[in-house]
Amino acid sequence: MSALLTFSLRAYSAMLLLYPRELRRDFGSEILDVFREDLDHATSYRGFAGILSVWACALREFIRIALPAYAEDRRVAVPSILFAFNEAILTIPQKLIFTHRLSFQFILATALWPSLLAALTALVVVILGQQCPLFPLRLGPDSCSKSAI
Amino acid sequence: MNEPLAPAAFLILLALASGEKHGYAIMSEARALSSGSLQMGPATLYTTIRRLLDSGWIEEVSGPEGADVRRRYYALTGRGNSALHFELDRMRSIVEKANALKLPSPELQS
Repeated sequence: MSALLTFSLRAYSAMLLLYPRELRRDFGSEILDVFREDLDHATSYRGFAGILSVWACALREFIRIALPAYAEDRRVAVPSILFAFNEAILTIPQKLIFTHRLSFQFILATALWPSLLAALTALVVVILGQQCPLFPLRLGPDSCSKSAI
Repeated sequence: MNEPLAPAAFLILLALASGEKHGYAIMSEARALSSGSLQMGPATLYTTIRRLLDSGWIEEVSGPEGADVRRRYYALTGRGNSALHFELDRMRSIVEKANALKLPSPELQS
């Protein structure tokens, strides 16, 4: 069990690298300490099931905090959107035309529009992400009615 | 000031109402106060703590005598206390209005 706990701590500290830089800078060691205490407590009371529940919570937080933070980060979001546009407009249609000799109309219907739609969706998500802070203190119009877990 | 508090922020303020606490104690208390319905982990805890610190609703304080020096302790400020009481009054008012409606119990409806 102790090997599993050690592995869990190492995995969580690696996962922490993907959280927003400011959060890690201000509270990184504390977050890790609280995770360790939570893991110790859950293991002593519930054993392996306790470890699983702590990890389920950690993964849920990762999806809700770390991933949306990337969408808010222009350094990540802008290159991602440009890459998606580039793939949608240039690379994918060219490959399909020259490799598979498909007609442009067919590509437009099957590949181009879904890719463009995905890129536009990403753009909207980023714009909304800039306006809606993560974990607002208050719910309501100011916070885009986002609930904090 | 009229929008309800987010659940995590409300429970952290409520956990600190009984006195200064360190991170893990706040998380445990918040989970207990929500009867386990709030799945608060370390990242949610400190993301919310940071916002509460920025808003001046909680502050970092020196821990009690003999406390682990690595731990950071947090306490409710006057503004945080006001926000908590405002929220509690809002909730109380809703419950009073709901009680006045004399809603049938769920057992009777099924």
